[in-house]
Amino acid sequence: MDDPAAIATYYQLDASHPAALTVGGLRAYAALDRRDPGRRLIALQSRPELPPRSRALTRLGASPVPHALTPLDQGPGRDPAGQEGWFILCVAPPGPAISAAMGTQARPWSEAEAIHYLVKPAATALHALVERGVTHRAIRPDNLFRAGPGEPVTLGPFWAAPPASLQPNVFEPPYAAICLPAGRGEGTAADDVYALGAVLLWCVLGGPPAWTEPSGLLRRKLELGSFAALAAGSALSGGFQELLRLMLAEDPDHRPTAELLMVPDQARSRRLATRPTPRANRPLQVAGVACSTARELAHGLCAQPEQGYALIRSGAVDRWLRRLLGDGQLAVLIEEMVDGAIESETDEQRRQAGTLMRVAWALDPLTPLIWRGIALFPDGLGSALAAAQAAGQAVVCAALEELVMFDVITFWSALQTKRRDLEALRQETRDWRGWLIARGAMGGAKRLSYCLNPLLTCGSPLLAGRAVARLADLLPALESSAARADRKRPPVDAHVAAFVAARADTTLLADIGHLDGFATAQERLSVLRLFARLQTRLHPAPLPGLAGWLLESRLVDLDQWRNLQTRKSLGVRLAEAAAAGQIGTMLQLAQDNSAQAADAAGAAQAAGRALAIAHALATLAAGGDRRRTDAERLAYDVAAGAGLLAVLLAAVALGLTL
Amino acid sequence: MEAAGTARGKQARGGHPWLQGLACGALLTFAPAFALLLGVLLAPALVAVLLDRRPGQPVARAVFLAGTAFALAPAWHLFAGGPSLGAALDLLQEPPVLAPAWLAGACGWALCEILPMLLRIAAETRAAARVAALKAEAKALRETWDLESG
Repeated sequence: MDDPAAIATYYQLDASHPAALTVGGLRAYAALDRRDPGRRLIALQSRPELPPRSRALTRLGASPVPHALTPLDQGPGRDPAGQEGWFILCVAPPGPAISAAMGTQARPWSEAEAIHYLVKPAATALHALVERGVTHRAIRPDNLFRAGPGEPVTLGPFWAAPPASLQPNVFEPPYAAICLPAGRGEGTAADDVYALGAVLLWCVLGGPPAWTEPSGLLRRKLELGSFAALAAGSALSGGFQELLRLMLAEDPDHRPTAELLMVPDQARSRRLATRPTPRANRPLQVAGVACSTARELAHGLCAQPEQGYALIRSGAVDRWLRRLLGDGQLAVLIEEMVDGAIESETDEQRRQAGTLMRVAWALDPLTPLIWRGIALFPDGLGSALAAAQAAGQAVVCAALEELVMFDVITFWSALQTKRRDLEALRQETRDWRGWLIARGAMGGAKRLSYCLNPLLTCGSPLLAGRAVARLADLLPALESSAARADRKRPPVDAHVAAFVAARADTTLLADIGHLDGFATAQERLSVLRLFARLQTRLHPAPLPGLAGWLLESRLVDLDQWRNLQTRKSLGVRLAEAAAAGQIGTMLQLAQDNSAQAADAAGAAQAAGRALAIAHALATLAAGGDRRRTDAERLAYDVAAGAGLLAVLLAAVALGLTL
Repeated sequence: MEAAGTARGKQARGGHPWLQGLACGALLTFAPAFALLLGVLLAPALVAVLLDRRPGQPVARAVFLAGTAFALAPAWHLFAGGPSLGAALDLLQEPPVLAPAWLAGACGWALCEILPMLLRIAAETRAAARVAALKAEAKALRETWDLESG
């Protein structure tokens, strides 16, 4: 990144306005469009533990949605303090948030004003989002903006954090409010209508009423219903109350659609024939909490799993349903579920969690997936896992992994009678389980988290604070952190391996093989191959820092070359390639198989010859006696031969003289 | 089997001393003049036989053969001139007869003492040269190849 203030291709932070803003619960900075410097933009900085909504960003593209802030582009960038982060750019809000304006003017909105400037524009935006298959899930007073009184509101950014992750419980229906904040999932347009209804009430009441106690509020919502809990004691017109009652209905199917809300008079004229919720004469106590309805009991059992399971096993729930709530059919269903769970599950803790999950669904079909006291919707698993990992919540992480490992998600989804995509989900969860159980650093919970969150930034400390959400950003980040890194260790840790495994395509994954460790030469070579392939595909520019890091971390094992001259020359050539920043050249040098085979053959031959020399030297060293004996034998034979020759010569000489 | 082999070995190395004693006795009885002449001329060989403890008595053999070469001519002169003890004693009193025989025996002994030493020096020199060549080759291998790892 040449320009430290640059973000994506055409944008940069506005150096003349370095102060951080808060937009939609996230930090934001004024930004500029280089092509149109007069355009007012903001750059939202996403939180590392709350990855942006990739699906929503993809579906929205850069085309605007009426009365909503839509993203323009995204990418890594540096805030004015030099801290790097992932930024998403959008047009600046038209004015302050309505919560801020409410704080200054302290005047409630009139019902007509709320309908005209809040409900209608918001419904128009929500309808446009429905048509694009996206939910908002961030409708709350501090994320609705307007230029001033008499102006329509604009829905704030919702794509920079997981759905509803920053929503206060008051603006969420009870089944979403009990979930992990990051695990609420995409939800439905009806959930946005609920939030809009709560904001509508907030506006006409002139700010936050006595809603602030989260646990008490949820309890009141369950006990009285959302409308009664939120609007109790307020002086509202009948028609307005009716509209709010519909928007805050417990069952999402009972809430008006966004399209209907664009004409609020039609929406409020809609009549619902709903049966009153059956209430027991005497409540069932779950850990000191009195539960009078099936929905209250479902939440009570899941809030206190130990006591709840004990009540189920003792038959107290069954008896209460039959005798006090008068729902024998439900009692029979629960009895069958408990018996089925006891027969099918062998692990006691999983049996308990599974039983509670099924019983909760039977008592209230709107209940989210609840497992070991943790509630979420399956499509929020990825963001919930990322948030739990970032917060170091080991218990939550273990529970979420269990959901995948034991196929709980598919089982829960099968209970949902409205689901039609069960087979697709089953295949999807099979993939998740495959990632989770994959061996080595390229598998496990980290990989699952990166796979499920396409814009989750890599959490590796090797990146030294650089925001890397895309594979293409990995090499430049490592290049910039190479100078300060511990270069004795390779630039790969569990985070980087899992990140690469999640972001790489299947061809690249097959090419690099496993990144299990650095024990063997092959494993170390896999790391080098990974970076070489990444450089070839994504970042052809020279990377001398990273190449030097790879070289110094001894990924190339020169010791496996036995010819010392070859080893030395290879070291020189590798250093030259590293200095040139060409990792691919380094790989070619390191994995020259034919040369390595020739080297190994030569080494074997040399070792054989060295062994023969050692044997010969040992034989020579031990052969002194033998050489002495041989010399004596030869000398005595020569002496005898000489004597015999003298005798023969004397005999011949004697014969000649005769 | 082993005992029989040992006996055959002794026979091959000039064993059967009783046979040699019988031959000497026969020589003393039937040709005392030759016995005297050869006994004196080959006296160094007889001494060597007594002193040489090596298997096969190679020194005694060499001394005997060397002395024999210079005993043939006096023995022929004794035979041609009529073998008698007096003639044998006359021959023995001539220095050109006794001295070459004893000198030849001494040469045979000297050869057996010096030649092994020279040959051993030659063998050790050859071995040292071979060791040096092998060490040089091993050093060259070590300088070219990493023979420790792998």
